[in-house]
Amino acid sequence: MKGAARDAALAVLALVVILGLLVGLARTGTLAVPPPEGNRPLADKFLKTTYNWTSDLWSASPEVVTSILWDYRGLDTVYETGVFFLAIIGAIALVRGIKTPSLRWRGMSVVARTVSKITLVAIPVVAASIALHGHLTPGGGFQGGSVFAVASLLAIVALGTGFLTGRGWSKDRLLAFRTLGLLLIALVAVSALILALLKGEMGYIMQNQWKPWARVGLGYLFGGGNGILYSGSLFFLNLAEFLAVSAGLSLVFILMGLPWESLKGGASE
Amino acid sequence: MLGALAYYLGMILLIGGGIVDVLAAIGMNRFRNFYLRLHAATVGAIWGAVYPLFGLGLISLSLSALGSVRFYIAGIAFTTAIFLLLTAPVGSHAIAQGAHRSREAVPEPIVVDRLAEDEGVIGGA
Repeated sequence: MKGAARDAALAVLALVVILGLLVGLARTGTLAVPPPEGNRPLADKFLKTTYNWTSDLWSASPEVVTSILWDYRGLDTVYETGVFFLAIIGAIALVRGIKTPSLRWRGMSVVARTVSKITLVAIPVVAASIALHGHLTPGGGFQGGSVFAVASLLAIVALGTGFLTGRGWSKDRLLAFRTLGLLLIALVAVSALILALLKGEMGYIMQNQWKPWARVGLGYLFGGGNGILYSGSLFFLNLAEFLAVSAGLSLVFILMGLPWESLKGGASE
Repeated sequence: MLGALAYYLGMILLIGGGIVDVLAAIGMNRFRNFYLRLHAATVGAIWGAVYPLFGLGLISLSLSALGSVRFYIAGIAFTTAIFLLLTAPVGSHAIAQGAHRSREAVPEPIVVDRLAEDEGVIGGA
């Protein structure tokens, strides 16, 4: 009986709280902070220049977030990628000298393995679509790479630690792909500047499109005329970031999948 | 005719899914141990997500006022439903197997336990 009385009291309390919140919301509008009437000046600037070819500041991409990340504040994202690279280097430094474990997690039951193999085909497809459409739809290299790393994680958990390493996904090779991604980003970052220097013009690091005072650009249409929009450097940067993040996060997940027994002995070169 | 059929079938799936999802939620609260609650959770995943998504796809296909957008909605709904249909039972299966292997939960109203027999064989061999 006591439990029932407590339940009733809690139900009444919940009802009062919900009603109070509803009244509060109804009285103040949707939130206490009034929603702004228009765009803020900075947002207005971005929205009106990203896909506006009459503007000198356009980045040839209808996806404003990607334009900001890889063009307007592109250098910031390059440094972020560098920080992420250093974090992975740190993770590798932690487990240096550890041999590939003899004791292996053999994966889950037949049911889980079968469905995981079906899903393992679909995840990289979604990841590639997110990364390669990063300049057209929400998404991009980092997001696509993170989705790809989910496939690695699934393979480690459901199919066992031997599944990836048995297919040549070694620490060194993944690190090589990760470094290759970073190198490609660096290359794209300076490509417009190198073009400008060769032509004897003005140019910038991380420059994407042609500007009246810096007359070099990476183009934006593949095939000219009614070609495919690739938005200059944005597509290549997304591709390189996808490669870097896929390899980097997969590497970290493989390291995290190391069994405890292999870590206990301590590092020995 | 076909459109009306798709609409009503979709509505039945949507509303039926909602009702069974509520029942599954009640089951989550009322069932007395882990494996029974897992059953309720899986019923909720299938009836609360897969069937309504199929229904949503059918409804959107029947609404010609949506124009070509309805094919996008239906395609996304069907794809998501199929993937949920594939993965939700496997998730429950993996959780149940993990709980059984670690002996965290006792399978209580039980007729036969083949998994324990298998594990016993592996342990003995």
